[in-house]
Parts: sequence; C-alpha cells; structure tokens
Amino acid sequence: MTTPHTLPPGKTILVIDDSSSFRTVVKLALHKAGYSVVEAVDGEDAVARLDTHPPALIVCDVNMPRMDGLSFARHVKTTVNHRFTPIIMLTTESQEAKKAEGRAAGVRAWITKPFQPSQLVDAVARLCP
Amino acid sequence: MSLPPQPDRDGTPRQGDVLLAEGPRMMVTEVVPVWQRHVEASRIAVESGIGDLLESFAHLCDGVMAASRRGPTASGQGAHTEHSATSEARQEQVLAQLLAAVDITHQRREQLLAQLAESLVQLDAVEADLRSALPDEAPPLQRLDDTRSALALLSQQVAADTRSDHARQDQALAQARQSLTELDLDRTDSDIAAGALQSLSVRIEKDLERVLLGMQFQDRLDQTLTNVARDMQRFTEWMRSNEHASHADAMRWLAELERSYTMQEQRTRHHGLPNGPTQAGSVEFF
Repeated sequence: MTTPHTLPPGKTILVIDDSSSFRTVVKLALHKAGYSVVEAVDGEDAVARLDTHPPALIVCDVNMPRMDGLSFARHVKTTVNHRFTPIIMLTTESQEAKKAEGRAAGVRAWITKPFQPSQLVDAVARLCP
Repeated sequence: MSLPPQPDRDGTPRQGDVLLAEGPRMMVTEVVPVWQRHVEASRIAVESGIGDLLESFAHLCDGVMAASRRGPTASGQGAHTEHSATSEARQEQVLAQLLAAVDITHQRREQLLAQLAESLVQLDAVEADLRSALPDEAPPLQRLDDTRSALALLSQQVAADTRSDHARQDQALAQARQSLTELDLDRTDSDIAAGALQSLSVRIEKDLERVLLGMQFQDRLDQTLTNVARDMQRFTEWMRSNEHASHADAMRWLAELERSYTMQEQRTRHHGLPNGPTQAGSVEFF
C-alpha cells in the first residue's frame, strides 16, 4: 500500500461507525498514512465529539442507531465551526437515491464498502490537502 | 399455503379450523425466536472474535510500521547508497593522505641519511686538510675522530630505524587496506540486507491492504444477521395477530424485505442468485 499523503501529526479525522471492527479497519488504514483518528459510535456520539476534538475531515457510515449518517451530515452543515469540514460517507449503501440525499446534505464523497484502504486515504488527502 | 379457516354461519370459526390456524402460528412464534437467538448469538460471537483478531492485528501493524520507519524506505535506500559512495570516497581519500604522509617521512629520512653521509665525507675532507696543514709530529685530532665515530653511529642508527619504521609502516598500511576491504564487504552485506528489508516491507504493505479489505466481511455479515434477526422478530410478532396470512401478505413481506436491503449481495441472495467474489467498492466525489 503506497501512501504518499501524510498529514502532519495533530490533524484529526473523525470516524463514525456503529461497528467497532469496521472502525478499527478504518483507523488502521488512516494511522498507516499518518492521520490521527477520533472514533464515534453513531451520529449523536459524533455530535458530542465535534467540539472536543475538532476534526479536519469526517468519515461517516450511513445506517447507524440513534442518529444516522445523513442526519449527522445535515446537522454538521448547520454548525458555525464545522460547516466547512468535508464529510466522506463510507457505507454499504449503493442506491442512487441515498447518494442524492448525501449530496443534498453537503457530503463531498461517497465510498461504497468494502473499500480499499488506499482509496480512502486518497479521498481523504484530496478533500483535506 | 393453507386456506384461511372459514367461519361458521354465525361468524365463529369452527373448532378444527381454529386448531389448523393455531398450528402454524404456534410453530412460528415458538420456533422462530429460537433461530433468532442463534443468529444473534452467532453475530455477537463473530463480532467479538473479529474484534479480538483486529486488536492483535493492529498491534502487529504498529510493530511492522515502526520497523518499516526504522528500516530503509524507497527514498531512504537511495540515500543509503549515496551515503555508501560518499563513505567509500572518503576512505580512499584518507588512505591516500596516509600514504602521502608516509612518503614524506620516508623522503625526510632519506634526506637526513644523505646529509649524514655528506657530513661524514666533508669531515674526512676537513681532517685531510687539517692533517696536511699540521706538522707530521702533531697529535691525532681526537675530537674530530670522536665526532666522525658519533656521526657514523648515528647514521647506522638512523638507517636501522628507517628500515624498522618502513617495516612497521608497511604493516600498518597492509592492516589499513585489510580493514577497508572488510568494511567494503560489511557494507555490501548491509546493502543486501537493506534491499531484502525493503522488498519485505513492500510485500507486507500489499498483504496489509488485502487483509484490511478482507476483514470488512464481518461488517457485512453483521448487517445481514442484524437484519435477519430483526425480521425474524417482526415476523413472529406479525404472525401472532395475522393467522390468516395470504399470498398477498407473503408478497408484501418479500417486497418490504427487499426494500430494506442496503447491499447488492443481499438483493442477489434474496432472489437466489449467486454472489461473485467481493470486490472493492467505488468512490464518487460530489
């Protein structure tokens, strides 16, 4: 896995997924490329972490309990401090209708699971140079 | 699918019909929850097992990444070779300077020996001049003889020292050359080891990518089993109050199930079609 994109330490990616094993996979891929990772188990948990760990970018699942990914994306766009933070949806959802909802919610990229770690790292580097 | 029980003329279901309707409902409400528990337990067991495996794998990756950072990288390999070439040139330079210094010492000793020989010749000439100027009965020139003897002795000592120094210097130079040759061999071994480590690092990185892709099966399995367990529960609850299920109900259930799927593999499986090998998903930028 060649990962030429390396952020300086301190830049943080917020990873939101209700599957702990999937969060670990994402964390491994991002750590390998030099990113710091903060984890959240769903949208509500992520809202609580936005101000304590301001992220440079958000990687978010769609289907989650309590607050789903699209509702979270819509919430982020209403905040003063984080409305410009890029959001990548990383999900098994591949239906065009869901993608359209994501685009309308201000999501910048849509990655369908399963993902190649290099795909994710390239997308993160592109949206958060 | 059995026909729903027909009510009696007064609207009350006949006893046999009630039993007929109760049978499937009882089977569903008693048996399906057991399957549901098995599915749920399997899902949790897989999640826990994969979680532990990933935890161990994360530690392993940290170790590999740390070793990779300490070892030569693709760009570091070039720097290492460049450093070797610089080091080699520097060693050649040091050896040349050492040889030049030894040569200068040799020349100075040779000059000193020549000057001593010259001094002895001149001393002989001075003695001859003095003797010719002195009467025959004059006493021997003792101090001159002593000086000549001292100079001759010194000359012999210098010559002996020079020979001995030559031998020592030759030995030191031979040892220096041997050390440099061994250093070259060590460096070659180090270059080979660095190359092997670099190849290993590249292979590990590729394996890591494959493992991280493969590990994601648990997430899809978890979603599928969660949906199946949830649908089993809904189905059991629905059956409690819908003992007269019709073909239309079954079609509605199937349509609803299909709408709930998030993964393409669920849809193909729903229709009994084979799923191909799992491929990495796509990336779309908006």
